[in-house]
Amino acid sequence: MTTDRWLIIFGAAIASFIPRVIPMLFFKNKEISSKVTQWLSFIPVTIFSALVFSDLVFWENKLSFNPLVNLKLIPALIVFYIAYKTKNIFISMIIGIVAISLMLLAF
Amino acid sequence: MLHMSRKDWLDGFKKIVYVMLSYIPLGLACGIALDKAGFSPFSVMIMSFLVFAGAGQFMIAQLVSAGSSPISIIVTIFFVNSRHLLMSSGLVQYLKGKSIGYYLLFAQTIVDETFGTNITQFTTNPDWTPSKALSANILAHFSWIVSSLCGTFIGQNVNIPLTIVNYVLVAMFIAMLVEQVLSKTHLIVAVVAGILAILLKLVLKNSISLVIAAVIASTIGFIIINNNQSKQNAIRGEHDN
Repeated sequence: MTTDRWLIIFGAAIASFIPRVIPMLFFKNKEISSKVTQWLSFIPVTIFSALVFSDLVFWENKLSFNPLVNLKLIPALIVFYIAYKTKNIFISMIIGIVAISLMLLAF
Repeated sequence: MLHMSRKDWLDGFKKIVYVMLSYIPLGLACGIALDKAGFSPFSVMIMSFLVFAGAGQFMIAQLVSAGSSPISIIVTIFFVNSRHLLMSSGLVQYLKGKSIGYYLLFAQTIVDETFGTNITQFTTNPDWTPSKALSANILAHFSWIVSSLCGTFIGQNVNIPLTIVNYVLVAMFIAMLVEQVLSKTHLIVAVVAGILAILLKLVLKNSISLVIAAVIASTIGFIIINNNQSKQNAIRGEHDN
């Protein structure tokens, strides 16, 4: 193993820790105002929406809304439906994996 | 120092077990990729302990194989993980009056999956406590370290289809997203965040697009509810007159 790789590991460790720890240390003893809490209440839904959609509509690094090219789209619709109906993350994951596997086999 | 009982661990385990399971294929695939990029098993274990970021560690494997410089890799990882800033800010209100050791350990174990699990538990489950949250985080972290280490031993001959492995997370995040749509305003804001994230990814070609999309969309949500409130106040005012 080269020193470059160790440098990357320790550098990446610091770069990952800073955004995680700063809000903890800054806010831990502060009362967060109700306005900030209101704003923060949208963070989970916006973060997960951003994560999901910025992944889903790209197939091999290209934007694609064609469900026969971008094989992730149809399984995603199924997972959305199952998640909405069952509210169960584990079942949603299993259905998602089965659906994408079938799509990859079929196309 | 951290005062976590057996019950804390057990309750934490119950809520995080699907994340632990999802980390098995993901961690194996990540370990294989890092092994291919020339990282030793010991170094992968240290990396998974210190960095703990699925997408980030895959990216390290990719960039090292492509011959990128250490500095550019470290900066990329900073952007990829900058979204944890928002997650940490969102969780800290539920973690008051803890020791410094608690905050450091909790911060280190914030990832998309533990954030999603904890924010749902803290908002819907009155029995969820900071100790249970930390135990869930540590169990997830442990699963990630072990799985990625095992991946380095499997070696390069095994081909795990990355589209399927990645879909484990996509499906999990869809379910977490659905869980978080608590009102019509949340739905609108989710759609805005999704569209912004796609557009910004196309323009910026950088993971900071996630953070910008979430910040703008959350601000729009904030404006919507404050507008509604002032309208309601105005209507109430008219009735009072």
